[in-house]
Amino acid sequence: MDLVIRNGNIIDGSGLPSYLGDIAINDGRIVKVGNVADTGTTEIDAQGKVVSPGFIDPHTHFDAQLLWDGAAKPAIEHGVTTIVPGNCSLSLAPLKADHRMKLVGMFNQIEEMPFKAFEEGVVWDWESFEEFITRIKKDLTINVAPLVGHSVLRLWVMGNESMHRTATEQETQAMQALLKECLDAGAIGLSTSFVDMDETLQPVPSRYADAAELDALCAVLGQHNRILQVVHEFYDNDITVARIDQLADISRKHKITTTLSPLFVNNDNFAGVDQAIARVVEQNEAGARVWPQVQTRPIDISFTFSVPSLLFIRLRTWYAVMRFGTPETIMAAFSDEEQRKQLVAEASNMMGLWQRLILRQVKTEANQQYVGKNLAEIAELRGTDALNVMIDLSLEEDLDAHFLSADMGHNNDDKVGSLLRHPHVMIGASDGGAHILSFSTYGDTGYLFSRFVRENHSMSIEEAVKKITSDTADIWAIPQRGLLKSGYVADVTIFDADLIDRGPEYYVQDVPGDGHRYVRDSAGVETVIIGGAVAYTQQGGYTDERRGEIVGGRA
Amino acid sequence: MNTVRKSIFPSAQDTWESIAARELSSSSTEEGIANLQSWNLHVFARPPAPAESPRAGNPILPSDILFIEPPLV
Amino acid sequence: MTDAKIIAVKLSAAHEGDAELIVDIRYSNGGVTQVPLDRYASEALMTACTADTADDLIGHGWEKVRRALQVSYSRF
Ligand SMILES: [Zn+2]
Repeated sequence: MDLVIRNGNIIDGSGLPSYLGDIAINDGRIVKVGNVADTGTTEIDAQGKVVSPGFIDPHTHFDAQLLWDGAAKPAIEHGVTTIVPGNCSLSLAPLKADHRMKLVGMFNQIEEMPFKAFEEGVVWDWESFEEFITRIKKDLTINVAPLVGHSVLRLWVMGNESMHRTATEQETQAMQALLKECLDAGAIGLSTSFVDMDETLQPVPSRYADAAELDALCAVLGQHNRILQVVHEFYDNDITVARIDQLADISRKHKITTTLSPLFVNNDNFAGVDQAIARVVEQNEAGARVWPQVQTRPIDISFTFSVPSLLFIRLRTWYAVMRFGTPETIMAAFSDEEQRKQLVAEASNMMGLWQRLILRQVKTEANQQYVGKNLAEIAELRGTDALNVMIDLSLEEDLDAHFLSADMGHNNDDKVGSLLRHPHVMIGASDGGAHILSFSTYGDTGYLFSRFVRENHSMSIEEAVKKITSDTADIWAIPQRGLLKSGYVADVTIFDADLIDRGPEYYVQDVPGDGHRYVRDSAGVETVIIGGAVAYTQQGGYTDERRGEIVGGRA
Repeated sequence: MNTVRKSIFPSAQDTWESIAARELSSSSTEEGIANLQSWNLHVFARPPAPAESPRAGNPILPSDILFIEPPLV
Repeated sequence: MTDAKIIAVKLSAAHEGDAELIVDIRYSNGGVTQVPLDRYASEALMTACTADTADDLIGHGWEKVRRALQVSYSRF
């Protein structure tokens, strides 16, 4: 026996109650669950810990990162063993050499992946989807279920015309053939977008497709039994409902699964979200498969005073200073005794907000000591109040002090919790690997357990595990993963139910070309096993195992 | 199925005028266009097609969903 | 002619981690829609309505929202 995990609380992904047991793994597969008499070459003592299937993250943009980091760090340390990249109409293949820079522009807008990272981190040695898969497979630690993007299919077939018009019949047929080729090479499905833009606000190519083109591509998905992912106009309830109807029609016509993401719930749109979910239920009861994705983490707002933030739009003087100002005049207003007095007076009745603001980033050495603290704490250290600290730090940093206001949207735990556990909702939409210069998209799984299982009791731990393992595998038709079951692939996460969480957000320089990003460490995730080999331990970090596979596409 | 707000998928050649004429034939074209635009402000959240495009000035995209009535009460 | 008007404005958190302004527009049938505006569109709307603060936007017609979106999305 290669590996035996002993005495864990087994939560097998089915939703059934946990139980005490061992798991035997041989040749990358689970061979026994229950009482294991044989000794393993490696033995893991899981006493007091949860042993669950590895988590599946169905909405990510790790496409570029996979070219230089086959572990999609830090996904694995959060217990994630399978990721779906290629969402929102954008994948890195198929891609002709001529179109590389065009696509980099779109990735730059959506992932905030800097141009320099592509320049220094990427050897462009692929064009077809198959070549791309061969390329990333070489060094894969995490499992990848790749979507192919509608925008890149268009770019391949139509060139620059893909950003101007609908396709001709011949072009549509060429896209169908190309999609088929990608599915044969391992793509798990197709992604499209109704909202994304490139770096100059031009709509991405998929938005120039008419409904007939999408339907023609979905016919190919139907022949291969694969999924359609869309990013819809999530900011508008009525459009969301109309997209649900569109997907339901597509789903029934071609007998495919569809998923739309993200679905947010803010305090003023409970009714709208309820209506969208009711429509999903209605359509699914009528035979469709439409899965809205809901993310676990709340939305934070961040700002500096070098870019006017709408956070100040109700504060007349502040907004005027920022809206009509240059960095020099804003600094001058903050420095001028009279103006500062006026600004402080206007904002002082919102002291609660200022006190909670977290200082995320500064450039001077002197202020590094305050990074990660909230303004109330810094104010106490400096003997002043939070509002004055915000102004002082901004002056000291030439306005380059970055502040974060946490939990500003999608933050009603009862409402979000009831959505997350809803039987017609998929937990997802992490956007892992995207927005890297704005916020961390990692750790949503830890947050699910810490906030919605432990603190808010929105669901049991067994339900939470099922939601992000076997449910996701079933919806995406990823075979033989998502359960701890004899014969299944041994993707296993061992964690402490009392400790699992996401850590604080911080800024690191680990992107090729000296690039930065925001990340979070995990807490309470002890061991992550992928394909039967230990890929990560809390003590030792990442191992050299490379057992990641391309999954789903060749079912 | 419950009643939802009525919408259409535009065809590739559609403009505000053509949709108003087709879907809101009981109003004047001018009034129809104003109504359509007021119900579909999301269509203005993007640049219009450039001057050299056959769709010059038209912000409607072929993938859009367009409402042909106001929000339901 | 449609006489849809702004009846409320509120601050919200956009997916991308910025604050955004949500403008509620009510139509003559009583139906209400919500239009999200980023900082460029909000600024354009504030200018179009000669508003100093968000609440000054209430009562203005939908055409100003259309104009603000057109202006801000043509900035490149
Ligand atoms: Zn996405």
